[in-house]
Amino acid sequence: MTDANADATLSLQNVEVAYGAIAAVKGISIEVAPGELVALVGSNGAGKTTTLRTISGLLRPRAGRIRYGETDLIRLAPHRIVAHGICHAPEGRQIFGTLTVRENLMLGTVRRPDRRDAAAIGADLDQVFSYFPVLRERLGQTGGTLSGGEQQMLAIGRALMAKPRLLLLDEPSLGLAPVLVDRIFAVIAQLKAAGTTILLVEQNARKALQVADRAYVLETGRVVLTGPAAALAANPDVERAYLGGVS
Amino acid sequence: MSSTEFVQQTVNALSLGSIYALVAVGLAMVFSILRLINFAHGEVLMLGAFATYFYVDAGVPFVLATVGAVATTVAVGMAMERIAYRPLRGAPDVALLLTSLGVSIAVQNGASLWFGATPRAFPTPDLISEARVIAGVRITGTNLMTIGIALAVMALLTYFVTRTSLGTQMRAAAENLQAAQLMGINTTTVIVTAFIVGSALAGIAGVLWGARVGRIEPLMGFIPVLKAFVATVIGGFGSIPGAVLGAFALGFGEIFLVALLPDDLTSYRDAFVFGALILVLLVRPQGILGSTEPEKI
Repeated sequence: MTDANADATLSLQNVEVAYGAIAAVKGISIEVAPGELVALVGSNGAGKTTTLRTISGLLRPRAGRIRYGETDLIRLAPHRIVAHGICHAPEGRQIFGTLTVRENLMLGTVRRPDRRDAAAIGADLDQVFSYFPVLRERLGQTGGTLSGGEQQMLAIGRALMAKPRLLLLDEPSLGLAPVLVDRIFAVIAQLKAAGTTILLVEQNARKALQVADRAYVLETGRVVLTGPAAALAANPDVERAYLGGVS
Repeated sequence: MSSTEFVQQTVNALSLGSIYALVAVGLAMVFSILRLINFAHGEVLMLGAFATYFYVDAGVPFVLATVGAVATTVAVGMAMERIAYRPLRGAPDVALLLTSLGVSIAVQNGASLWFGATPRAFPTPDLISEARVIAGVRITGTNLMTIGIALAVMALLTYFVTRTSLGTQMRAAAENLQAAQLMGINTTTVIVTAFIVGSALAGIAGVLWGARVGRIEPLMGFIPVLKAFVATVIGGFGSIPGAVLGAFALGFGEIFLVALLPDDLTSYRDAFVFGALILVLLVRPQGILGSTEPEKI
């Protein structure tokens, strides 16, 4: 981790990503400044998840630039990107079901320079438990025995253990009961208040626009609208297309 | 069967199962992360036996020679990964499988060319190979050594896989390679580690197999790796505890079939082994400890 990235801005310029011959992202440009909570909203297949997977290095863009501060992320393997302070809680949780909750959480720390500092790691574990107290009770259980909501909490907690400068959250509310969705979004608001920079992908546009500072609306691989979240939430087109408005 | 004979056969079965287990764990470890069935694993075993032979031939004491042999197999395993498998990262599983068959054939033929196809006597010191009478039961030192070493190695391996950070990273990568990458796990480190550990175990197995059979030759790796493959399938492919369980099941099955069958049927031993494999696959295709989870895309 370099201090040059301490207040780095993530910037995507004209990024194109394809699966074989099929373009999923067709030249999008996005910025996330330090301390911001930026939401990517849009329907299924709009390219939101593809965008996140490209930032974290799982996919290589066909064209365009991705920079984080002074660093060109396109050249880097996923684990090097994590070392730059970017951590991705993927869609569908993808926690390690055969590993214990503690092991899952500790895997978040593998790229931290201070991973052998028991005091620092312990303090961050306590921080995660303050967001998700249930994880403390489940420490010795394997991830696969958790409920869907608990698994989502573990997926976010695991990413937080990386002490990310930029947290990528992919569909954290997917498949959860409304009360759990509220719980997850409350934690996202807390993280933002604590100064964590977040890029949030959500199908639940209403919730996302409530917590976000700014948002980009994606449609079939392109950014079709962008602006302050409050302005987008009030936009009649967005209301009709994504917020289920009837007006 | 007398009780003395039963104890003897049990020791023999434990010893054979131990060798299968050492080979099977290496296969399972690499498979769990790379989805690669590394058929060239048997050639690593063969090279471990030959390295021991040549070091002893050069005047190195046996125990030191085996240490050197394990170091040699580790280097061989790392070279295989670097030269043959790493360039295929992301290629279809079939490409990896065919490559491993190619590596296996190339190494077998290279060894035949350089070492000669004539079997050589494995230089086990008499102090190790001679039989001892313990509580009225005759047990060969080779069997005792095999069981002892396998137990110690399995204990170390269990510690490594369950208690160390690198071991935990390996289990995470085996379960979900992409999620492991997103946590910052370096997949190359994990894959190379699997080859290092697997090749070290294969090297140890090569020494023990050489001591058990007494002769070594360039094609000697085929049978143990085939049996280890069966063991991993029986136990549940990719599961390390499953591989160990399957290896001992196979060891016991083989030894006691030979002990119990009439003499004119013992030559069908391998037919029974593979028959058992077919039965397991029919009844429980995912193996004893295998998960029923569908393959991730």
